This record gives sequence, structure tokens and C-alpha cells, in this order.
Amino acid sequence: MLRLAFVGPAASGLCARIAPRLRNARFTAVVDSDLASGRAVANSLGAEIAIAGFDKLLADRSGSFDAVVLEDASKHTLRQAVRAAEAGKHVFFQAPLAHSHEDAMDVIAACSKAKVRLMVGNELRFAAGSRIIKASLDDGKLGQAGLVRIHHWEPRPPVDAPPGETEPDRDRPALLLLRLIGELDLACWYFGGVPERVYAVSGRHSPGRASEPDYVQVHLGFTGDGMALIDYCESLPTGDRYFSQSLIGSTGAAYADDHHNRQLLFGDGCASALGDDTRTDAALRNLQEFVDAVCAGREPMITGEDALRALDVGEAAAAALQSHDAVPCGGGP
Amino acid sequence: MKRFRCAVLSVVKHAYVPGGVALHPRFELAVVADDPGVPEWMHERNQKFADQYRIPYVRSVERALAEHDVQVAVVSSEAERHCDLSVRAANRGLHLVQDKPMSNRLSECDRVVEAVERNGVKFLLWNRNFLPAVVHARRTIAAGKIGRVRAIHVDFYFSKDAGPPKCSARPGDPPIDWLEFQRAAHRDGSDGGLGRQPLGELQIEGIYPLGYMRMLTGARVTRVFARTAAHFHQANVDNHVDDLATVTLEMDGGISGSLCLGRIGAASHPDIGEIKIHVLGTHGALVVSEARPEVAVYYRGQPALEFRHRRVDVDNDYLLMDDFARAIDTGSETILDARAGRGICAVVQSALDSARTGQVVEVK
Repeated sequence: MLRLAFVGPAASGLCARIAPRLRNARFTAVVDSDLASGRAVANSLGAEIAIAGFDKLLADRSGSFDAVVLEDASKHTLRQAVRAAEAGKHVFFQAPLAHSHEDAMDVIAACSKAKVRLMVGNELRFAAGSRIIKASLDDGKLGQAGLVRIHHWEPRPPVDAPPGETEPDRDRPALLLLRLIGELDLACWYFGGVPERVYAVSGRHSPGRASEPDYVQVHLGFTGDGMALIDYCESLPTGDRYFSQSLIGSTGAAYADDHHNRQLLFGDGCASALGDDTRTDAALRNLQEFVDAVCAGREPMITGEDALRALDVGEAAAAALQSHDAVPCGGGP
Repeated sequence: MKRFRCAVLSVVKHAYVPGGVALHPRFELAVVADDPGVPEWMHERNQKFADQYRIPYVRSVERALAEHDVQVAVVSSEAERHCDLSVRAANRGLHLVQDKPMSNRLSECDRVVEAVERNGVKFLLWNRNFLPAVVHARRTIAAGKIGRVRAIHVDFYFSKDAGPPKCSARPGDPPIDWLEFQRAAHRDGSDGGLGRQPLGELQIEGIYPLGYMRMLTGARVTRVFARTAAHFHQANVDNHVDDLATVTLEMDGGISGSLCLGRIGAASHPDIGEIKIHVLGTHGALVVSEARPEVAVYYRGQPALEFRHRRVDVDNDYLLMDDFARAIDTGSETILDARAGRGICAVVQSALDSARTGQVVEVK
């Protein structure tokens, strides 16, 4: 049984939904600077320990867990990941792994040196649509991948939402690109490599300053025939998100599209389209893969190198936003 | 209401444009004409169409225009002759309905724009902007339901095959002759690329999604970045033209756009293809399936190539011609006039340049 320490507070609700369904693992500790909140999360996860600081967890309760589950890519969390690895703990990190290639390398190097497993989780890879598309691709049903198209739209954040950690050397468009690191990883996964050419544009859709974009689209050109177009926004009205992906191969195509998978509700006014919760299943499979990899002593499905690859594409996209021109990536021309 | 007599100037590929014109009660097909020096197979196709509509076929464009009291020219030749036929008709004062693509050369589009404006005639580039789903999207946006348009994305995958698949050529096989290949495709109407010069799908079909974008945003495309590939069909590989393309578009007013387009093969979709429009506005968003409304029909023994989902309420041809008639009556512009068509041709040309160079290209 793998014992997990959850270093919160993000997405604890989702974790609470998946915790009872994890096989061969359970949460034993929760770290939250707000101890009352930490106790509540620990209770929801079935963990015995709630503790206010990561240092204290390592110092006082190191024997109570085997792996850490980290949920954001701030400098602070990166330091926690390095320290966890140095203490011999396996590390699960929700993508993005870091804000930069260099920071990511620190975590990868620490895990490698300590011989612990590092998985950079990406729920998108475990979503039903992605799994079926990838399996169809691997089975040869779709032929050679030619085009990946992804639309991912999120509601605009509440006005009173707490600001995320920002870093002086990262501008807002680059930070926005980090939000679609999962999509970049997905595209690289489908094509089995890094694009050679990257272009990106961004914009502000909802009311606000133009210098603070809430929209970005990235265009990837892979060696050979492959290409991908990904658009991401945080400007929808309050309510549901929208996610759609299609993969066009040389002998077949797959379409996984929220538009096709909505139900209709007739209430007041116009009919509404209702989606299902598909995140819980993807989040469960995401974390379960980490548990299974650690228990089996194998590399997890998404390694630090995979995360680095997606980060590099994101950095190329950021460079394209800066230069207003297409830029090479992965040694491309 | 005044009726318009139409000269069909060459109808050597699919005949849906003159057929669509004839659906409107204010337009009457009066004559088919072509140049005397075109190959005999073209004369035969022109004659066949004329016979079908019980109108004369004249082997001289100028003589037909002079002798048949026509006010409208309907051009449906190979793409490389589209503009020349249109210019000649415009110089005789005829209004123009022209099949897509507008041309394979931007300089030819410029000739049409000049001739149309100098002669004060109306021009309609055939398009699909009056499909019910597109009309619905237009109304929704015009009503302000999603605020101002900030981004638009069109997926335009059509699932017809185009000859043998890629990698089917055996060693020593000669490359597929484009013109002969397109001539053979006439039997099922998939000969939109007919002509001596091979055309990629971005050139042949790009007009449709780019026409949607232009109508729904009202914005001009200023810069593009594109990738293209011959991914599916041997004819495209042999002739070095695309059958799959992606384009990032930057438009006036900071509007972003993208286009995914491909002739993805019959195996890749159960119907005519996946065609969708995604629009993001300042206050909402819109996702539109271009194929809908449709009716599904399945039955035992159904032929493999019969569409299971049939589009309904499609009135595009009639509405295009109604729009054209209104433009003539009132002096207003058509839904896709010569300048707009030229603009789309420029976007396509710039996209192809971008795909070739790997650079972002300014649209001129």
C-alpha cells in the first residue's frame, strides 16, 4: 500500500472524490498552511495527519508517507518536490512541472539522483477521448497522425479569485501558455515527438486590460506531415467548460467533442446544453498510474522528460508571442 | 420582377453552379458557350449540359453574348479560365456568377475586380454562406448574443476520397496526371480541381470556411501562418499539392482565427465530413455544426457510400441567387463580391507561401 502525502490546497475536492477509489494507495497526510482547512481536507481524504508545513512533515512525520502529491508549479512547490526527492519520497506533480526548463531540470535531476519516481500528471491523457484516440492510433486504425485539433474553453475566473503566484520574469501571456501545457503534452504524445515549428497568437476577449490576455492559440508543425492547432480561453461566462479534440490520421479520424456529448435541458428561456463530469475519472486514472508505476517499480506513463518536452514547446510558443513570428523548436529549422 | 437571362460560360466540371442558378425563378439559363479552341471533351460536356436544359450550345463566347440577349454570365470552367471568362463578360456589361476557386492566380482576381468595378456590374463568388447553420450563426452573432467576435475557428473536413490512397504507387509507376485524374472524377462531381494546373484542397475548398469567417467577423485577414501536407491521396503527392492544411489567421481589430481543412477520405467520417464553426465573443461563445439540421436514415442493405445523415432545410442555392438578384435590383453588394473573393484568394495564396517558407506571411 503506497502512502501519499497531499500538499494542498488546490483541487482538494477532486482528490476527495478519487481518494476512496485508489487501488494500492491511500492518503496518510495533508499539508496546508491553514491547519483548520488542512484538517478538513485530511478528513475528506481519510488521512490521519494534518500538518501546517512541509518542513515539519519531513522532520516529524517522514515515516508516515512514501510519496508526495503536489498540485502547482510555483517555486515554493518546486523546492518541496526537490526536498521530497532528497528524502527518498516519490513525486507526483500535476502539470506543468515548472514555469521554465531550468526549474524543471532541478526536479528531474533531484528525482533521478535519489532514484525515486517522478510523474508529471496530465488528466488530459487519461480522459476517455484521449485514451481511445491514442489506442486507435497505436493500433494502426487511424494510420499516420496528420492533424490534431483542440479547443479548450474555460469560464472566466471570478473577479475576487486570489491571484496565482507570479514571477517577475514571466509575463502574462507566458503564464497563460502554462495553462495549456497539458494540451501541448497531448499533441506531442499523439505525434510521438516535438514540433519543429511553433507559432502562437493571444488576445483579450473578456473586459480587461489588453496586456492581460485570456486567450491563446498555438500552431505546431511536426516533422513530416504532422500539425496541431490548439486554442485556449478563460473568457466563457460562468458555468461549464468546453473541450473538443479531433485527430485526423491518414486512414481514419477520431472526434471527441463536448458538442456531441451534451444533453438538453428545457427550463426557463432557451434550452441549455448539459455536460457530464468526466474529470473525476481522468483524475483517478492519472493518479492511479503513478501509484501503479511506483508499486511496479517502472517508469510512469508521463515522465519528467515528457514534461520537459511540453515545457519547451510552451517556451517556443511564448517566444513566438514575443517575436510575432514562427520559431523553431526541438532543433527544427 | 425582372427576369435575367443567363449565359453559362463553360460547364466542364461539376454543374452545381449553373444548376443552382436555374433554381431561382428570376434566372433563366439561355445559352451555353465556350471558346472554340477548347478540347473536344470540353465541348462534349458543354453540349451535354445544354441538351439537359434544352438550350443551345455556341462554340464562341463572344457570339453567344452578342446574340442571346443575356444579362448574367455563369462561369464554371477550369479554375485557370474563371477570371478571363468573367472579365470578358463583365466588359460586355454582364453581371457575374462564378464558381470557386476565384482563380489559381491573384493577378487574375485583380483583373476581375477592376473589370467589375469599371463596368458597374455585380459579382457573386459561389459559396455556402446561406446554409441554415451558418445563417443561424450569423443571426446569433448579429443579435449580440456572444458580444463582439474575438476569435473564430473552422474545421472543414470533407470525407470524399480522391483516387488511390497515398503510398499506393508501385515503383516505376508514372505520377498521376492531374487533368486526366480530375476528368475521371467528373462522374461523382468531385472534380473541383479540374484544370491543367494542380490545385490543393486549400485552393479548391478554402473559399467556403474563409467565406464563413469573413461573413461572421466582417474582418480582413492581415497575417497567416500555415502548414500543409499531402497526407491522404496519391494524386496530391504526385502533383505536390496539399490535401490537409492548417492556418492561423490574424485579422483586423485583433480578431484571431484558425482553419483546419482536409479531404480526409471516405473512411474518416460517416457522412460528408466534420464541418464545425467555433466562435468566441466578448460575452459568450458559439459552437455550430455546419451539417445540421439533418435527418438520419439507416436500413438493411444500405449502400456503403450512401450518406446516413441527410442535410435538410438546405436552401443555399436559392438564397445565393436571391441575394444576387437583390444586389442587381438595389445596387448593393453580394454576399461574396469580387473584392471579397479576391481577399480570400490572397489569404489562400499567403497561406501556401507560409507553408512553403515556414514563416508568417502578410496578406496583401
